[in-house]
Amino acid sequence: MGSKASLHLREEEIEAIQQETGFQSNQIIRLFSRFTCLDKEQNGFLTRDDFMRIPELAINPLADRIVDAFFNGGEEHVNFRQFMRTLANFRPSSAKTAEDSPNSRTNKLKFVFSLYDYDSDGMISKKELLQILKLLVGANINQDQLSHIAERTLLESDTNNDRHISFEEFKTVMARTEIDTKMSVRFLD
Amino acid sequence: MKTNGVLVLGLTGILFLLSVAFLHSDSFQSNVTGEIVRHKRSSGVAASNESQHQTNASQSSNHNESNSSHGSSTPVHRYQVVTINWARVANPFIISIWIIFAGITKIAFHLIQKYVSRVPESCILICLGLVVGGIAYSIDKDHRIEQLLFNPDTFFLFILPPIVMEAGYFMPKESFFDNLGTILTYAIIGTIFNALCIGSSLFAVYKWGLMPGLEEYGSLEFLHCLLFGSIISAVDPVAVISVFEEIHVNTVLYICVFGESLLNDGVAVVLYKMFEGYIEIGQENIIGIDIIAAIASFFVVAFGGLFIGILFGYAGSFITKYTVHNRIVEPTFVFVVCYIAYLTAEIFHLSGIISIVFAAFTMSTYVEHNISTKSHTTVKYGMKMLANIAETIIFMLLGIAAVSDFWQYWNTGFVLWTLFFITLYRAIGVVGLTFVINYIRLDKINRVDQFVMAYGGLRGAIAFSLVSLTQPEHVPTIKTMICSCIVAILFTSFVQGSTIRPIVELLHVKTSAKHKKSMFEDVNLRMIDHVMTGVEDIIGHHGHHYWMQRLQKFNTEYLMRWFVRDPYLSRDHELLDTFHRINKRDAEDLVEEFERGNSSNEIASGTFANLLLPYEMRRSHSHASFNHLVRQQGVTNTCIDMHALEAQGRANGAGRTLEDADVHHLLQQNLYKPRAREVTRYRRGNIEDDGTRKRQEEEILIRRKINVRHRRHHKHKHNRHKTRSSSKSQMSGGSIKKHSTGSCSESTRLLQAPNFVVEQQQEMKTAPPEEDQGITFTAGKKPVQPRNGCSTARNPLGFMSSFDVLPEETLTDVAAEGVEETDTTRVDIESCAIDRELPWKRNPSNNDVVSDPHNTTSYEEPAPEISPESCSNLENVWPSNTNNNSSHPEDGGLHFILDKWESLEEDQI
Repeated sequence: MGSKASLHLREEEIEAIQQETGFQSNQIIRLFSRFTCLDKEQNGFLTRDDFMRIPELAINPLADRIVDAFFNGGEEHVNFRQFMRTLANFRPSSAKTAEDSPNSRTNKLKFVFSLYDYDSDGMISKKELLQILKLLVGANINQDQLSHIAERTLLESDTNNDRHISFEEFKTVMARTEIDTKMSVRFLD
Repeated sequence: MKTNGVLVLGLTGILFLLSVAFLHSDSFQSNVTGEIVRHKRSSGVAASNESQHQTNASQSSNHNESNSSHGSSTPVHRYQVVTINWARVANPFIISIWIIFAGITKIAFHLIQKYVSRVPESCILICLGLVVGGIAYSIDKDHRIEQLLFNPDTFFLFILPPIVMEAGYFMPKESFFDNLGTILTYAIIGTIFNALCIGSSLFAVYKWGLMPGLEEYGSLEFLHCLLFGSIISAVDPVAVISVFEEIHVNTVLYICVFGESLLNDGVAVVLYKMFEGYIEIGQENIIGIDIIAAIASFFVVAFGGLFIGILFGYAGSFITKYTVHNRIVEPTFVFVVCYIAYLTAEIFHLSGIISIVFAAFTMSTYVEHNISTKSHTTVKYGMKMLANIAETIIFMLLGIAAVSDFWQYWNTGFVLWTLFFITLYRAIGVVGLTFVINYIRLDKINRVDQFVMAYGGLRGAIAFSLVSLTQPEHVPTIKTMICSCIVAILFTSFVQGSTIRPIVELLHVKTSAKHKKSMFEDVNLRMIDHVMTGVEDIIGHHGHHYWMQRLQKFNTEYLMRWFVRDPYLSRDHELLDTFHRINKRDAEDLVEEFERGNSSNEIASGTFANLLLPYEMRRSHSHASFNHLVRQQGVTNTCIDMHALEAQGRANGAGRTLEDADVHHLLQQNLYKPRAREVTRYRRGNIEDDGTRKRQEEEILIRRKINVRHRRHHKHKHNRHKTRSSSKSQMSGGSIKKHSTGSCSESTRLLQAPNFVVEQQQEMKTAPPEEDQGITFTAGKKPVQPRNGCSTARNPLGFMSSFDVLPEETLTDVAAEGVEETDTTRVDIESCAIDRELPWKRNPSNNDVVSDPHNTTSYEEPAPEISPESCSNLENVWPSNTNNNSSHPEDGGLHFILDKWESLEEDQI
């Protein structure tokens, strides 16, 4: 793995990523080796197929959405920088974490919100909610019930009665949840 | 309210006096009996009539009189109209009185709670106990009462087990496993550290001469101090439970303190026994082997207790697997097996607490699936009730026991130093260990939490029982130690216990999310779980989750099938039950509305009942009003009326919350389980088993395939989709070609795809396609084994069959999507029995096949004729597909299902 010169991580790249994401350099190196490991064609970027080749991920009901989150703007490839940028959302945060850093509470929530917001219009519509529910729920609940559940969910979260859930409303719903802990992964050094 | 409180208090007082009187008389009786026995032993004369011990009514009214009458009992007895035999019932009677007394005090406290809301219940109970103890002490000069009341054997054998059993049974599994490392660190290292430090510090202080006057009571050796240290260092589960249940701190904090207090018993018992043994051996005679033996005994005690607990837990689970015809014995097994686990561990001097905690813990995982709902409720309330009563009794007895003659051995220095050291080392222990733990923990335990953790280190009845068990021959200063122990208990319970709540509020400790989760939150949390699992997979790092998953896999693959009756059945059963409950309540609501006469079609059409109406009808045909309603409206209106919902919600707030709960439940049941976290997520009915897991994975995969197909269709529409679908079709290896109607080519290609797809198709084809996809899988996963009769409600397929008891016009009404649907529905009804036997025999769209609706059981399946042009590899797996090629080619088999799926996904993108 990573025998080609182009696949080696340069010092300044590490530093830049460190600056941007807050990862430590050995974490970056470790993740880079994972990145090259996933990159079967060894061309320095990952495609959707590369992600989907992870067997555990393939059986994740939200795999498409999760992978989508790595490919912002409908791109075909994701390079290491982008890869790290997305992963930075899942770094553990503390009280000192700046509001604009990727691992802040708001940004973690934004990540979840963006998974819902398929058409990226900043609102969760009933349709989008229903899509997620369909992905999440096994086939044991029928359409009508699911639709009902989506309706109900929308109703209880939609404070301004516009039939959509905005990010602010989303934040309010999740206000009492420990997002910081829930959405953190321990990255090995 | 106030008068009520006073009344209840008055009643309590009377009862209390009564019980004291009884106690007194009992102790007196036992006194007399004792004398008699002694007398009998010495002289052997005329004790036979005394053992019967009958006194007449007039005599019993006054104990002194009764006393004198015993002294001069005449040899000839006249026949008595009423005889009193108190001695025979004395003990159970007193116990019962005590339980009632305890219950009434609880009621009284809740009535006067506004005055004492700041004081925890345990403190008030101890106070009450102190009062009772004081009175008993003054009445009873022989101090038999406190021996009768608080005796370590009674405590360990009867009062403690229910509390820890309840604690184990209702232990929040998820957070327990999440924080297992932290808990064990505190429980083992923390307790050992505390014991050694407290012991040696006390000895050092003693040697420095800072405990003046202690020498009068006897010599204090180093081992004595260590023994005392091991007794006093352990945090008490009973005290912790009672205090932390009232302040709702966050889960992590709670489970850490709570788990520590439960598991440190193993350590405390070992240390206690070890030092007791060393004292017997004598300090100078201890050699290396003793120390090694002690360390070995730690593993034996802790892991032995664990082993016995788990063993009995599995045994109990196994038994309840076969209680289906004797539902009534189910709760008994749960209780008694746990108790036996405790007793067994005690036989071998292992940790009984660890044993019973894990027995209950194990049982709750499996038993919940086996026992009926009623038994479940019984177990739940039985546990809570027993634990509550035991807790109340413990605190009162603690108060009673605190009034005794050991106070004359009071030594201020010893007591104060003890208090100082337990506080100091608790703080040092928590802070130091947390410092280490925080390196590993993902969510760090912050300063405030550490403080609460240290402050919540309450001592309780276990320490007192252990210290009372210690023989004065071994430790001459034990009475002083008892004093000190009592003071430590009272101090931690009163000072720390009652100030912890204000402190928690003051420091803004994160309190537990006691709020009812909204549905959206619920969905979000589950979603986040999946996302996190996905991210972990991407970064390829498996830590905690990975091992949890391995454990889970082992559990589902090997253990579940042995200890759970029928994972498949119970899952569906649960689901149907939920449906049923929702429907029932909605039916009630509807009936109410009809009765009130304000029902409008609008409201009715918006209720959940309408959505689920078909199910309700399948389950029960007795709801005439439903049929009526359906006929009125023609079809089930599946679109939700917002206004109606809102109106409903406002009109009936309570009803709505209930409904919410059910929807929650429904979601809980059906949301895909994230791979890694699920082990901790057992809940009744939430059964994970091999099949479920597989099915879930297959479902997801097949959806993805369809999605890919779908994207390709739409790629000309959306630019965004284009990129995606192209990569997707690469991924699927080109196995899915263009969607072509009217042939089986599509399915053939899919069949060439990996194995799981084939399996999935096999499953899917057994499903009635005209159902919603929800039912598709439910029905499809039923095994092919024949079953007679489809009328039982327990049968997951049963609900379909009860269609045929409905009047036919209702059926027509029920059918939602027009005539065609009605036909297929009917076909479904008729063929469900066959379907169960031979799933592929049924041709969903070909009505001709099912000719005689009433002859379902004797219906002969036509041999699947395979059209020559059909692909050979379909022969075995999909005869029906080839079968109906002629009539409705695109409706049959996989194709239909794929279309169905696709249409379902249609609105998704």
